[in-house]
Amino acid sequence: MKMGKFKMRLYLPAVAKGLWVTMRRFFSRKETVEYPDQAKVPRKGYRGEHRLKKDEQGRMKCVACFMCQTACPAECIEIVAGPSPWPDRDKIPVTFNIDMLKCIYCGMCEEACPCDAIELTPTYNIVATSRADKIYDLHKLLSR
Amino acid sequence: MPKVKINGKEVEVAPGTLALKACLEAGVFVPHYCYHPGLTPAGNCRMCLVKVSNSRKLEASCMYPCTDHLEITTEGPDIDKARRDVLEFLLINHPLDCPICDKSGECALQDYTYTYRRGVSRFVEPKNIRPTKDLGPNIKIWGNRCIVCTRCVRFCEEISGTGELCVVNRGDHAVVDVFPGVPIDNPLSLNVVDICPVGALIDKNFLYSARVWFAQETKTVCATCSRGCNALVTSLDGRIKRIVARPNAAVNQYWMCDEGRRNFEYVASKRRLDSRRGTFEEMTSAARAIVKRYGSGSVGGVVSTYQTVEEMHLFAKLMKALEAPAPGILTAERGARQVFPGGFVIEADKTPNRAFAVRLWGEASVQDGLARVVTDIDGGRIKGLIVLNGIPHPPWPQAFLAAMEKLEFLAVIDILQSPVSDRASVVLPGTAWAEKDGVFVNVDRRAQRIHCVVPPPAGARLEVDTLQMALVALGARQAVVSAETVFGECAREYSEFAGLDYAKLGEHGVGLPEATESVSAAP
Amino acid sequence: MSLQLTQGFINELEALCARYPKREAALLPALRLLEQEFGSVTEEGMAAVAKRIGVSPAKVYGVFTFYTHYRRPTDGKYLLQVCATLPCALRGGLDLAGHLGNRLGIRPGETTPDGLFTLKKVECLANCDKAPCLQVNDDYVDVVNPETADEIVERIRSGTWKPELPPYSIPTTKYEPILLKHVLERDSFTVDHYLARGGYKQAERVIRTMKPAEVIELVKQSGLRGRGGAGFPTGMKWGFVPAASPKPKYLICNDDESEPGTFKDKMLTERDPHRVIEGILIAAWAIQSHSAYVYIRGEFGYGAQVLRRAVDEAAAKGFLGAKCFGADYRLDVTVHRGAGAYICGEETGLITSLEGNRGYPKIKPPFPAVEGFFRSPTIVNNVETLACLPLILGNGIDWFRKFGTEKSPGTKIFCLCGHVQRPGLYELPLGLPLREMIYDLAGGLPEGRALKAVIPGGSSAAVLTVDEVDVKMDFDSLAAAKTMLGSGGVIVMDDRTCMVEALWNILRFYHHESCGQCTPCREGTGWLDKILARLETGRGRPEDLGIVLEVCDEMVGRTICVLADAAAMPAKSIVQKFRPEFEAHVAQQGCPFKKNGQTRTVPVELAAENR
Repeated sequence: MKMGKFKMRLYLPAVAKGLWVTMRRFFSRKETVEYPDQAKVPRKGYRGEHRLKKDEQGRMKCVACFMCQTACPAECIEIVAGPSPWPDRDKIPVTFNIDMLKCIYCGMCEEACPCDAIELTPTYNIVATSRADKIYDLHKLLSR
Repeated sequence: MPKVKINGKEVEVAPGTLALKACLEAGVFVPHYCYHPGLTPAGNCRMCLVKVSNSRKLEASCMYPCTDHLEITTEGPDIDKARRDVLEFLLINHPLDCPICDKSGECALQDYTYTYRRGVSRFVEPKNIRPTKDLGPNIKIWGNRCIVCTRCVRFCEEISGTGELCVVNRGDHAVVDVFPGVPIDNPLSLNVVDICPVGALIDKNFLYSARVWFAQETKTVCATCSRGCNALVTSLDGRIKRIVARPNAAVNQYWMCDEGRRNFEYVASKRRLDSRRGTFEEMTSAARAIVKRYGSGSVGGVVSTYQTVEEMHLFAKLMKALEAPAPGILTAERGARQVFPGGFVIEADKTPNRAFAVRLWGEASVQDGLARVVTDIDGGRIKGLIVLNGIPHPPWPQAFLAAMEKLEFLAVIDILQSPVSDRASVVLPGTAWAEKDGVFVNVDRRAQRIHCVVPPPAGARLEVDTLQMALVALGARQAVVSAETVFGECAREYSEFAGLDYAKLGEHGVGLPEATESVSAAP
Repeated sequence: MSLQLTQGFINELEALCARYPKREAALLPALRLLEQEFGSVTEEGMAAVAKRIGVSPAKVYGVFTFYTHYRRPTDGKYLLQVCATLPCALRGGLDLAGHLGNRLGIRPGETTPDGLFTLKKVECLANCDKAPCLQVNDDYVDVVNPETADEIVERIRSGTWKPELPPYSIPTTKYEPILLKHVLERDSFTVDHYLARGGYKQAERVIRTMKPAEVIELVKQSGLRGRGGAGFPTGMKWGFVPAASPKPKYLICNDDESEPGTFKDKMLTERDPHRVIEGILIAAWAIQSHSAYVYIRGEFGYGAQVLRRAVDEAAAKGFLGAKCFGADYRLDVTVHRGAGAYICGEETGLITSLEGNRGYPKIKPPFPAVEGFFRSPTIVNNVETLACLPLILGNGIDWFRKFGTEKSPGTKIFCLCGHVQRPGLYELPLGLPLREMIYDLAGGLPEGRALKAVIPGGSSAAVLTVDEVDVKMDFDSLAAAKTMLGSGGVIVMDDRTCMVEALWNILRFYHHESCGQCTPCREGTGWLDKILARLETGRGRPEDLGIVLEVCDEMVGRTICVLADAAAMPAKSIVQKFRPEFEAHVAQQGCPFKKNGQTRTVPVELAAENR
């Protein structure tokens, strides 16, 4: 038997090497984030849950153009349009539902929007206790 | 006949044909706004400029008559530039309304800009403002979007003859408007929304209700009167959103009346019958029992002229199988026949298929049949009645409503709840005109296809299926087949349909010859 | 609520309708009747007239809103219309408008709270030698400066203002006037005065002894070219009328003088109307027309009055009517007043307006000579052209060809205006050098001023610089110099004129007057106006000059009529020939002339523009 193969067949040196790596890691910096006591701050541009934005007067910016619904690859946006109550605006969404469980958080809706009305926020906590709770309606999206 | 060359290809045209028409008919597309084949040309948008051999400068092809040996060129760098330039001019005051404009997705300005231009503007001045206002009960105008092509003005002058629209002001403040206090309110008013090339004129009923690229468009035929205007129905998620006109030179030219356009709300009405009471077997066994007990002619029928050719054909077979007399025919007439200056007609007969009922049962039967059935019921001769109706607001005569109390058995195949359906012991929900395939024969004896646009309510079943199943139960038929196959049977049975099938009826229907064998009336 | 029309009104309206082949052609004069009867054109009035004539109310509304010279219910008792177009602007017209606005406390387009005055800035009133010009309701007031304007306002307020016909004057030169020979004589406009100088003899001779074809041939050989602007050979135009056609023929006299810088037809109409009528007789005979119409611009209220009186006089003498001069020839002349639209000076725009519509030009071909007024053969001739006819018929072709050049024979009434010492009408043989006209005849520029630019033929003509004033003033020489003789309106600009501002003024005119029918003109004129506004008020960008030139090219040759070309030609020539001035405006972000307080024009406020 050759020397190299012999050394390989001895398992103790390999074990020792592995244990050395483990020990090294024991005492080095931890990557763990103690969630929820510590919150992880997502990097800039992280695509989390949506919100609908408002203008300086507090009115929703969305004009129900349907670009987001058209662009969405997951077909998770449902909009019904209606006339706006303000004299200087024509159209607003009467219904605006996003199924957050179908959504793939790609951000195409934000890119497609011509009015800067929808944005994906850094909210990554997407837990709910029922499927129904994860269909965000207009009220919920505007209040975020 | 003059011969002209279009992009080098020789074409023969009728004398005096306008160059644009010649190009379009030869399959060469030339972009245009103000030209419409149903209106006199105006030549003002300047989008259709082409090079012609007789002139040094580009000419508007919509106003240029074809002469022998004329050469028309529709492609080339200077023509492309002309189109780009006209579009640049149209876009400088046009508002950036695409996100909120209903015409988006079917807008000629969008389409040509996308084809001929880049989407960059060098206009940095303040845009002109023109008012957004109601022009009439059905129509609203967004003045900023108007390109003053005057199609709508010409329509009101030439086709409806009512002249409610005009262009007001001068220059780039010109916009379409009405006389103060005289709104646009004629039976054909919504056609101007069809022909507006941009999103200036909007149907208030359709406002914001659907984005057209999500919707389906189905070619069918209107059922509101016996003209049978060719229509295009826009539907989304199983609901009809609007109806617009489809051109058919033999029926409706390019137009449709407002009543036809509005006539779809009943399809989604809460009064739709959507669950059956009883079954078709109960209907056939009850009917057969009555015939056994009281003899031939004791079961009658009433059918409306809203039914398709296939349905009427099967109903006639059902009547025969039940030894019934000629059925009563329910029709609906309202007002007088209206002929408009441009040649468009609205018929007084508000049902789509009276012509075929006449074919099957004779004119006398269509006129008096229902009264005869009422008499027979009153007289005790008819004990059981099967009603097949599709008219949304059926004008049941008072005498009939009284008489039906005397019936021992009443079965109703209908679409909306009514006193008749309430009284019936068997109610089999049927399908509205937009929910089935079939054929109508219009007042000019033209057979046209209707197409299924939206699904029927859950509990409803196609009338052709119900009738066929009843016939099978009565032993009068072997199998249940599709409406198309039933039409094939009609083609074999009725000489005027000989050789026709759904494919041959196509999108514009076929004019029928006279029937050669005598009309079959009664069993 | 519908308006009750008096029987008198109805009778007048019906009489009006009877003068036209179709009732709807009476629409524009019918609106004038409403104005006279009720003080303004109201909605009820329009609805009533629509019903009477048999057109839809919307049609009437569309027509009413197209024209600018109808009184609206919101107008004050005295409509102060200040001419804002280039020749008046060069002599302080815009200053005048600003002054009046300050004085009355209102902006142009607005009415004083007491309802007494409405101030309006209007386009060329065809009175350019008496600039700055003001029209109070229907009455012209000449050479108005702020002091005289104040006086007028005071007089009106105190109820002592009476409209007065301004005095007529013509500068005298070594060239003896022919058409204008008698215009300053007392009663020159009466039929007796005209008869005394041999008037109506030629018309009588033509009708009694010459065949129509002979007349056409004679006029063809005379070489007479249209004096309205296009310069088309008159005889040749007459020859296009299909004589054998069974359709009625129409002769229309174009008295819609609106080209900025032109004011000759006004003089002929008001001071020698019979000469024009005799010309109409000759032309009508030549094309065998039995119905002639004089389309006179709406602002010439007095001129229309004079013409109507002259027509009545001629009819009373038997020169017009069922048997002209006792011969078996009928000719009815109707004076048809326009209502304020430059585009109605374009022959097809005029015809469409005469038919009772918005003044939309039509695509040519078909030409009016073949298919014109209600699709019948129609000839449209300018006032001056028709006025030449009795002279040509009377003195002969050789006499006529003595003046002018081979290709442009005869005399032409030139209208000198702007920065010259002696603005006015100059009837001169065609072919004189422009330099002679300006310096020798019109007295040159004001003291201490130098010539900067000249527009030789009304504002539609390309501009000429100082180096180009030796050009001969005839149709072909000017065409060769890449400009045009046009209507003969010579607008002179001195070295204090900002060319950017001048161009802005011109483009604003075309923007205001574009009929709006076809896309390139409708949008292009507006765009050019707005760019020039930015350039002059100090918000110009370097790329704007390129855009102006490109927009001009996008308009030319693509439209139904040549208004677009008329806007583009001066724009291109001024930008190209005075480019450094435009660049200075961009570089300095403002007008260098204004900064030195050296300009006579004032920027137009875009917001308060009345439309």
